[in-house]
Amino acid sequence: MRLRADDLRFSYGRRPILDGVSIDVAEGQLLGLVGPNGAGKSTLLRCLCGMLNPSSGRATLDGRDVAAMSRRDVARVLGVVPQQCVPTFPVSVEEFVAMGRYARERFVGGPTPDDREVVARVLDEMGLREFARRPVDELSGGEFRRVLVGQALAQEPSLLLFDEPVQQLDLLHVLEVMGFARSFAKRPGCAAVVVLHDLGLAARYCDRVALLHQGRILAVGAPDEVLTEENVRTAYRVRVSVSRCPATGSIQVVPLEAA
Amino acid sequence: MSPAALGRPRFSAVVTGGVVVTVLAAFASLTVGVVHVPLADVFAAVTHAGTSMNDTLVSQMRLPRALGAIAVGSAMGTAGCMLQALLRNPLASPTVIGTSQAAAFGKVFGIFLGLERVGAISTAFAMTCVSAVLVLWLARTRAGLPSLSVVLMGINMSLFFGAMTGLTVFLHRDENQLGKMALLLAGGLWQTDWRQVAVIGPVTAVAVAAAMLLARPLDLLALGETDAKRLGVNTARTGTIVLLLSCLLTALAVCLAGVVAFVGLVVPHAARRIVGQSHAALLPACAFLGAVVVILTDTLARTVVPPNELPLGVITSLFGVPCFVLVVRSMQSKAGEA
Repeated sequence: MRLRADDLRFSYGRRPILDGVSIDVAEGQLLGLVGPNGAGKSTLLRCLCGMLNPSSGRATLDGRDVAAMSRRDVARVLGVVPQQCVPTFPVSVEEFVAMGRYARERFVGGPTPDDREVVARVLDEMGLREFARRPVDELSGGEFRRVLVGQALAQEPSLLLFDEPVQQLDLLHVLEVMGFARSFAKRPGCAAVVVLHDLGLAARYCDRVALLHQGRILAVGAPDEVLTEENVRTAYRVRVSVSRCPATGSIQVVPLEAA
Repeated sequence: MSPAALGRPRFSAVVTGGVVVTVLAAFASLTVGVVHVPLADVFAAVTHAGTSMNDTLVSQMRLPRALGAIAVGSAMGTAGCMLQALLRNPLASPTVIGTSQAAAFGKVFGIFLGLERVGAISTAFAMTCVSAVLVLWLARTRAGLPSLSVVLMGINMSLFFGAMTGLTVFLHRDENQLGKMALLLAGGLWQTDWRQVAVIGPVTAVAVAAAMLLARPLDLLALGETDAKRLGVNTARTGTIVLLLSCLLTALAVCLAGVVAFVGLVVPHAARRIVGQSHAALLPACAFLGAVVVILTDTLARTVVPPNELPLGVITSLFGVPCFVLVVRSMQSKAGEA
């Protein structure tokens, strides 16, 4: 599954949020979207999955215009792991994950044995079996993150978009989520996009990184080429020191002072 | 083992249980009244038309009234449940967001224009839709639909349509109609006869059944509009259908019984405690529980101060107000934890 964006433009009123963004996510790739607050990362993500319609340009899934596809068709190939989701009424983990089946379920008659099997498999895969009957509002942040990922997995998508998935997570859960995002992208025919604030994480886990600045892509490519001291200073207006971590071999970015 | 682990009743179990309890409640209510009718006579009257006084009392007065109560209760229970999921708001119900009062005005206005029955139902439905659209439009912010603004706009609409009803009644100046119109706002089933039930009953049944077809998308809408959309729900289309159905059900119920407050608010909360959150079980549970609640309250209404009747809406309000307080308190304690 190939996800492309061609010259996406989007604005709230007169203020442009996306000012001509083109990216390309090929199979097997984990693409990291980084950039300062307000650079347009979340807006780009929403345009990619068709939740927002760009004012010009288009996002395509294997050549099909996302904006022209039905929500059901999009949800069958593309899963979005949101930053947060608070159910109004406390559903159980199992029910919450099973909602991911919506786009593949029959319209009436409830879930088929097939649907139940996928949900059971996802619960096992995400280590949620023991939480299955717990109300989602009683889970910890790390547990709930796994539930959100599980719901997206129940869609059986070929593409996953993660919107700031490691926010407010402790180190263990950060590793867990990023490791999962990477392994998902390596499944046959799959790919993933992840919005991140932590540049070191982006460098370590992503195959390619796109650095957004004022609604445009300042640089895109391998993490080492994109996350240079100069690029980061331009985008974030912060002087940084970029070095290579001896343990991981990937680059790490340490902020020094406002530029 | 947690209560949740005991398993959730499914659609068929809820419907079977619901039918049994509703029929029992209906028969109980048919025996009770100023004149007590023995159960055997009730059976006789329901199964074959007789001419005795008890036969006439049951088949011409109490039976249509019980069926009317079932229609009103299931309509309000279903409409409240759909609104709470659609608006993601535990306080949403036809009365709280003002659509009941709009329906009452619609009906009064219809009568004012000289319309009757289907004509008056149509004006009630139209006004219900107008008020629902107004509330959603006025309460909408860039962040979505905050619970509080929906409720406040709803109160606003209630007052506005209440005033419009008062104005229409004032302008009408027909002593005979005046009383009927004013009583519409208090709610009651005393005018129910076969002619009304024959129209409103089947339409209500169809609308309640249609609502049940939307059970799955309603599960997802209760997560929130963006979440439902991300998981594949056509939120604009589904939301419109849900809103229209709940407006239709409200208009039908109000045309039959006036403003019966709090049934639409309280019944879904009670039903959730019994069958859980899944709308496949919750919607039928709300329909049957609503029916039972209105049958029993109506029986109370016509027996407490014989030979007079209390307005049905007065009794549901007396029970509903403390329930409303409980719902608000539990929302606040939840918000406090978060």
